[in-house]
Amino acid sequence: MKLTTTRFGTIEVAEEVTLHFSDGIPGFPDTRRYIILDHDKESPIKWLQAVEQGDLAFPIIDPYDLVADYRVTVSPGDLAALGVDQSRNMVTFVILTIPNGAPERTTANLRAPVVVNPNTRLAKQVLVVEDYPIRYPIAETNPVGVECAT
Amino acid sequence: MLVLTRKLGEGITIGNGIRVVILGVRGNKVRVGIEAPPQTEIYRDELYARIVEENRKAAGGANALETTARLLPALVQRRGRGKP
Repeated sequence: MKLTTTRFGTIEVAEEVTLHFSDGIPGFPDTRRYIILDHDKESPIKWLQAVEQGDLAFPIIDPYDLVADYRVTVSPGDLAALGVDQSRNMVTFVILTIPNGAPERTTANLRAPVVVNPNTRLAKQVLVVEDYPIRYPIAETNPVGVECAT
Repeated sequence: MLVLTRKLGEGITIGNGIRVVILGVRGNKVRVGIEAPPQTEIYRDELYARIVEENRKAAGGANALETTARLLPALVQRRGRGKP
């Protein structure tokens, strides 16, 4: 199917790669189908692009790129909704908030990761019990230059 | 909104399988116990509202791809943390 987006122009999307969010994403309950698009080959950032709504996309990233020991507990209800029996059978990513004109102040929502069952392609943004921040500054305590010097 | 008055230890049944019980009252704080089927989503209002707000911001930010591109060097270097 053809998909017209504001950020990526018109792209061809195969039905079998779409993710299905049965309840939508909080704040966007009526948009249920998304696809994941690469930003570019080098970038750790990808985009969660709505299929039915060309102007709706969320920048996403693998949380382990930000917090190496990121561990979350997904509730049994959420696991059931995704059709998985163990959380290790899921793919997890987190949504980035990139302020316009100030990308250095980008934050990642570690409290509400998006989890995907790669087999069924069912997906859901879940609220985890762990006390991770909703707004985790990705450039936080580690001045990049200092780290690279070591 | 339906308004009910309950005493300590009393409950409310909602639909098929959801039960809310008042477990304690101290000052302006009320402790509430909730029994519900596992697939029922239960959130503190303010936490859910913050997730909604954050999602709206995330969808509205970084409209320009180049904005994101400027961010990449910092991210990629951060990614390299812990590697030899």
